[in-house]
Amino acid sequence: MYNTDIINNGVTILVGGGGQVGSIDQGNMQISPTTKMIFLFAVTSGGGGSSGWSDAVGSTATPGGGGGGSGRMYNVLTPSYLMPKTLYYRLPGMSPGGAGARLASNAGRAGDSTYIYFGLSGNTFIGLNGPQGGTAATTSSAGAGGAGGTLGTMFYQVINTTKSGVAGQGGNTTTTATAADPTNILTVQGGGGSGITNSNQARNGGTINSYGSTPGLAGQAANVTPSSCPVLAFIPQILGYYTMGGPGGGSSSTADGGNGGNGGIGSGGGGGGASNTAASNGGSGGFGGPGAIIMIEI
Amino acid sequence: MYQSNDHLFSSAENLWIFTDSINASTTALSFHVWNKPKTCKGVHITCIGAGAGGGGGGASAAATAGGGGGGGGNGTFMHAFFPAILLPDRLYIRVGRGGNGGTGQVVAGAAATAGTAGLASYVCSDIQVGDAFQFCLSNGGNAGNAGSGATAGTANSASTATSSTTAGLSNLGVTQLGTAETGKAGGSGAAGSAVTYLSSAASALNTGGAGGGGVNAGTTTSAGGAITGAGIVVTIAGGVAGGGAGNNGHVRLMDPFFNYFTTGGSGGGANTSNLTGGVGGEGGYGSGGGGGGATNGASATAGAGGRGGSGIIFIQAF
Repeated sequence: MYNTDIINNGVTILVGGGGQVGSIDQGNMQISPTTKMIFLFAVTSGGGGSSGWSDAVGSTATPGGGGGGSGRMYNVLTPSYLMPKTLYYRLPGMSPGGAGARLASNAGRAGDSTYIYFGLSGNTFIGLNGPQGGTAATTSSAGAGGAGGTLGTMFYQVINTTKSGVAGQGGNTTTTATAADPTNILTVQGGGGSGITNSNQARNGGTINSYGSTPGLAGQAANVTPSSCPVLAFIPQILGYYTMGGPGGGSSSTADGGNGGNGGIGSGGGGGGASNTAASNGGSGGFGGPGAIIMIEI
Repeated sequence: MYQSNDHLFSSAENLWIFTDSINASTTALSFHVWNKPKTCKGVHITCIGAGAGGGGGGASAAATAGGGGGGGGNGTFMHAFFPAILLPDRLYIRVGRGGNGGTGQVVAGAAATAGTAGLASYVCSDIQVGDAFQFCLSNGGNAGNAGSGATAGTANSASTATSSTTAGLSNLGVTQLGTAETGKAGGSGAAGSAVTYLSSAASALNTGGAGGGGVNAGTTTSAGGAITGAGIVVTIAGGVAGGGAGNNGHVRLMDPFFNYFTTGGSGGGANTSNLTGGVGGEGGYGSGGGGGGATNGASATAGAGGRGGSGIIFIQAF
């Protein structure tokens, strides 16, 4: 694994929040005086998924929550002579999903912005706006997927690549939850949570489809509480780097709805599954993945 | 100014070039393997699609005008820089094959055929192609159009540039995605259209092919289109009137005076009086072939289009 050698040599990887939800990291990165070029990858946090609706009456069609939108990413390659000795950053942690509730649904929190500054409160070198969280479901309509992240302020206009965020998948009411189809491997939208039919037919949550060499993630099964999904992968045999959105939670006609999966870095959380059993809650939406910055000094 | 290339391919051994013989026609489309060197921090890739073949020329009865074939288009290009840490340890490389030239028209016989499109070049994460597997994709050039009787082959459309969707893994780095240019039209009773190096919508890396020459409603023949140079790139003459073959395109590969460029083939010259039209010149790496020259006469055969050049991929690690 050659990358093990590389990571210790001029590579800085920052993931927002240190695993904490809703936090913002602020700090700085020192640039070595021997550095000739700098590659920066920055991404916002993903949007949280919304929770599924719960209905107290059995045999009632009940909708699932929507997936969170995926964040905005930006790559830049810049010569070191345009860079100061220190870059400052603002980096968001995970975005909470909507909490599961009874006879209600809660929206997921929007993803937050990622910034890289010249100076503590100075000019913005990279500014990226976070995506929207999944909107709350109602008694009859599924939560909509959150809109994708957008591009903010840029500096210098040096060589760059950027990719818009993608809206999360909406939850469903009576049919199989819609799968999320990744459009890239850096930020992926969350899958939709599933609903229940009026004949108490529970469904699996929306899957995250595979993208090239990256494996897909199956939607959470109906009537079960999901395990968490991977949030980050450095797998040099397949790809240097990829993340995934959280799959949708499965619905349940016997217990609480399944929780949506958590999104990977910059990716949306899955929507929660529905429930229509008395005293049960809808599944919580998955967390939107944290923001991240990777700086590589060359 | 003289430039030494020692830093490119001697002790550092940090440059890899993947290609095929320029005019390969039967090479299997297999993948090559590139292994990321240990300790490298960045990887720069230049990927160029294959050039298309020129169209065959048109042939007409005696004392009737004939139109030359159109030149083949060049492949698109893509530059990409990736941090080594974001790449897998191994990349899979597939170089596009150049397109065949079309056959010339036979009076009272077979019609001329268009050239064959060039094939795309790929840098992939696995032994397969597809948007989600491609770090780099550069499309091949579009086929040169055939002449037909007095009607010359028209300029084709330029090949479509790659996007961050069709090269889905390119989002891991920064890229420059380039367009191609059209192959040029053949002449109808006149000279074939020329290609101008570094004209609009063309990169310095490669060009389309020039058009084949035409013959008038008599016995006056015209030359094939030239590849008109610029700067220190000299002009390549079209095939001379009277059935001269088009000239093959320039190829400079690690030339100390001009590190790299190629051009398309020039057009074949027209002929008359039952004599065969000139064939189009072959394109250099990623460049289009020239169109075939026209002819006339009761048993005349027009010139074939020139072959497009193979694609080429450069990888430099540092």
